[in-house]
Amino acid sequence: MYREPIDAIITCTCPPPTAITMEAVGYRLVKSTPMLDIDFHSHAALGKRKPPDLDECRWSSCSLFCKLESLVGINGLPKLKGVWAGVAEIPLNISSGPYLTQTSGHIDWWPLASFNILGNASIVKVFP
Amino acid sequence: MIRRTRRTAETYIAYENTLICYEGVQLFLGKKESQKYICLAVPSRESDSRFMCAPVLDPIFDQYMFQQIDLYALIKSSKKLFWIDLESETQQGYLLNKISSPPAEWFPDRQVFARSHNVEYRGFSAPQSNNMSIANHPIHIDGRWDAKDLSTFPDLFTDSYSFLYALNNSVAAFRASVRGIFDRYPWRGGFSTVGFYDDLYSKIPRTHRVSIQGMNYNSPGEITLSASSTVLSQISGSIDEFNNNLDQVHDAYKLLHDGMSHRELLGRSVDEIDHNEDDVSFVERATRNLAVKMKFEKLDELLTLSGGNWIVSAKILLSYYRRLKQLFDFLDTGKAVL
Repeated sequence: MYREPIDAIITCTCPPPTAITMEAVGYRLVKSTPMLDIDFHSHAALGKRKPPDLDECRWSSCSLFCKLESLVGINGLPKLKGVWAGVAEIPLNISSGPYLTQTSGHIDWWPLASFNILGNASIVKVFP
Repeated sequence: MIRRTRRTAETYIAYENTLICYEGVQLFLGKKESQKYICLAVPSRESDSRFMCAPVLDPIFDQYMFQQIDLYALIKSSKKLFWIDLESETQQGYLLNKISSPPAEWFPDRQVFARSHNVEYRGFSAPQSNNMSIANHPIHIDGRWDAKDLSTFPDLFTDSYSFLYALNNSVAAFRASVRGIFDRYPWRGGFSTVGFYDDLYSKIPRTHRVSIQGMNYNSPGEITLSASSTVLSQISGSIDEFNNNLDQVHDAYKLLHDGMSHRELLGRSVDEIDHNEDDVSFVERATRNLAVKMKFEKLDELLTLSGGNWIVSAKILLSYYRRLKQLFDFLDTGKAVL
């Protein structure tokens, strides 16, 4: 049902019961334009090392930001400079899958397997 | 390029709080007892999990978290820099390796602010207060604003806000933190009051301070301030009294001011004043009168924080009147409406 095997997570309920499907948009940095499927992989799917203070469910979410300007800051971090091709805007709703907006203005999104990300997301900013 | 220096003692830090996690952890907070370390992922040919860590002072870290400085400034605030490897955790934590001259590419760009964090910082507890709900308030502006107006208006507003906030927040811990400020100043007049308002401001929890949330400079335009609704309403109420009954408010001020001056209660500190019961009786009556006329509703709280001393309370109220009058004069130009 979900794009990533979050049903297999046993350490917590995933997605959390507080996740919602109200209409919204989220922004994500992508490494190529046109976008590729891998641009929307979670940290878990990318095989990154999970920090001790984040749970597996969050680690298996697709990380989005509510505001474009927050992503511009990410682009200025030493290991991420020059890595990105642009910013994609993703519509969030009942068909895209549940998400949780954190107080930091960040969105944890668990895409449904049935949701065609590449067909619904659009590039809203291209980096030179 | 990286020069390692000899360590006198090995220091280890614990992983405390992820702050940015994008393509793996990019920024986290480490800790050694109460010392905070900001740790930033850096490119390295030797390891994919290398971080540069800078010990940071609490007030500077707070400034960063409240977006008053960027990440570059936070790291540069530290004289010492270290590197750690996130893959090399020991039982004691992560070993800090001192570096004297990190490569330029290890630093972030300017204008990377805390708004880019995507994991919550758990170190702030919600400030305690009663009846101090914080909300955005639009202040309508008009006319032509000089650059000086942009500093004058917030300064005048912030002084009045700091004073009333201190009197409104009755949480015991906050009261204890501001009580000393009311005692500390000699209240001889003039410059002795300048630090009073700054000190009060410094005690307000950061999320309760006046902050500019938005600005639309047009005629008419708008400045959106985040502030306590209770305090803003009290300032606004007093400004209305100035608007409607300026002569009466000013007469009440003159009565108290001139009466205290005549009794030689103004130019000297409280310890230097030789006063009698008649002096105190006059000051109490005239202070109560001024408080009513300027719709100042916190006289009991002011008296309590002033240790029950009417002369100190009167001096502080006179000082507050002068600040409020300056704010009224600014608003009276029509450039802003509370």
